Amino acid sequence: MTLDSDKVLLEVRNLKTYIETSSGLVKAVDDVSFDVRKGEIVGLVGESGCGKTMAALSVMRLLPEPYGKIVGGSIYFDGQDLTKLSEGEMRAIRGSKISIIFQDPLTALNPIMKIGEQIVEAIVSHQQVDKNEARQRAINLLHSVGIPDGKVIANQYPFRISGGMRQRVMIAIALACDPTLLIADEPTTNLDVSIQAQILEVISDIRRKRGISVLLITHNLGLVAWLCDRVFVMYAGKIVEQAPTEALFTNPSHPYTELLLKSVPKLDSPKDKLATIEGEVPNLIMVPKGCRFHLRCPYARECCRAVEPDLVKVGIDHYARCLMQDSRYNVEWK
Amino acid sequence: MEQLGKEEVKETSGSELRTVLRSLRRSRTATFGLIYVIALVIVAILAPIISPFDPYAQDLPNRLQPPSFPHILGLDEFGRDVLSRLIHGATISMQVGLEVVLLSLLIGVIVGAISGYYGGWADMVCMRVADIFLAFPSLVLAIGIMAVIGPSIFNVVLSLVVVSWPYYARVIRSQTITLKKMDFITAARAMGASGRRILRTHIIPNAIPPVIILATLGMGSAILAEAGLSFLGLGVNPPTPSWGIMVASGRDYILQAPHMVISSGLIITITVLAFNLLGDGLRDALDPRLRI
Repeated sequence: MTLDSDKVLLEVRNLKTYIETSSGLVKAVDDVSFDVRKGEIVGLVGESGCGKTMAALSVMRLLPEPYGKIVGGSIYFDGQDLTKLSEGEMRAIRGSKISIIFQDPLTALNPIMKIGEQIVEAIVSHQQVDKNEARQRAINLLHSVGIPDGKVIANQYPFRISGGMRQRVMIAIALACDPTLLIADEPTTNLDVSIQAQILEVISDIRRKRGISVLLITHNLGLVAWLCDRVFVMYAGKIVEQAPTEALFTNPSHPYTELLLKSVPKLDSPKDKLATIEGEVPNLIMVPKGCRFHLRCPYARECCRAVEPDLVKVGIDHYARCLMQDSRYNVEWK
Repeated sequence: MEQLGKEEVKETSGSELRTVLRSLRRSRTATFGLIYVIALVIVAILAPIISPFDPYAQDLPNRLQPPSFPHILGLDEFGRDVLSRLIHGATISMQVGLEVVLLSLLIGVIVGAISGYYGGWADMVCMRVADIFLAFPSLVLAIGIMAVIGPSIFNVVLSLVVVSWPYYARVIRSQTITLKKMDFITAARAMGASGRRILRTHIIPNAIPPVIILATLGMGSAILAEAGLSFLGLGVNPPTPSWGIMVASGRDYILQAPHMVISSGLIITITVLAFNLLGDGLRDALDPRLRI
């Protein structure tokens, strides 16, 4: 990593993103803070529906209109509060400074536009370059994401190439204007395992070569272990634990993280039954009182039902939102 | 995917038109439509050269002559060659059809895309105006307009555009609403594309293919409407050879000289049918997802 690795690129502070639905107000992101430092790959982990995608869309200011709204907090990117920018100012940042890649690379590409043209489109929407130069850069970009036959692929329509190839194209588009932050929202969920590894390789490679920061949104802890420097674990709209990857895996300090780790299949574990977390993510319209995880937590005690825990420091750069870690609650836990 | 065959590569880098034509040829009815329409276009353009006689030259002693040599389709009530008049009529029909469709499409795309993409009051205003036009039976409205502004080719085009743009606007609008929720539009916004750019490069090109069929059908109905207006004496001025006028004048001699009504009526029917068949074929051919 570079010398200024401690410098923060993205700092989300107390972000609250609520979504209006017909059945009520969904507090998808409820007082969430996280940060991404320069050149770092940060994981944002959680089950489906815990609010991680909404957090990412908030950073891009691409929430589904008119139902989704940022109602509080700030998003500092390179010292600028994105929540205060106008739509026009935000447009200048999207794609050129922050890019995002989505889960499904087929639907995220225009079906009737050749791949090369789509990359060119991304380049010329931010930079004044002529078509020929843009085309050459598109081919180079395809090359840099592991498509050696850039010229051929640039002439194809998206439906003619494979899923892994499409995701590479998406990454190439995201990189078109040399952003400093790449948000990857479940980039490998729809891909074969062997292709997943290749895509991760591409992401880790561009971080190494371009010094780009990556916010990786995923539910796959294996992926996190492999790629991320730090991890934020999200549960029901809140960050429940944050730690350097190493620390998170060796010393999970929130019961949710602990259970998540146990439910990852391993080759050397007995082949009987995979651990699961009982129950489901609580309804974000009617969030349970006290700790949001207490309904599913094996260690839950009386106090967990009443008190909403704070983030407590448990190690270097390591915090957990659990009363077990809070010295004020001296209860018999395990 | 890395081992894309060389032939496959050559094929896609070839002309777009060729791929469309190849899938059109797979359907026999579409092929008929296409060949007929191409032939009609050629006839319409070359009318002054290929028509055997002057469409205005009268031969009164031989009026109403049935089909015979050298007047293959016979003579009309003024002794004019019916075939030559049909050939010159093709020029009028194609001109009206093409102008009506292109102008309606232009207005429809602009109005439909803006109202679908931006929504809100822009949508409200555009669609209520379209609704007002759609509330009238279109031919009656066109007749009304023609009655006010008087018969001429330009006025026929104008009145038909007025009655047909709302159909295009509606289709484009609904396409736009569907498209704007798609991931690739969000992805384009995430890349910092502006609303205008998204409309131009992503939404309109994707919304057009479904409208192509409507436009091809629209060619047929515009030709039919022109014939209808001319039949009623509200379209093209006689003695200009228009298919509608020919049916109208042939109607008076339907018993003595049925060849006049039959030839002009038949050509209108076949032309409209051909455009409809071509429209259907094009719908399949223009969708790149169906072209594997």
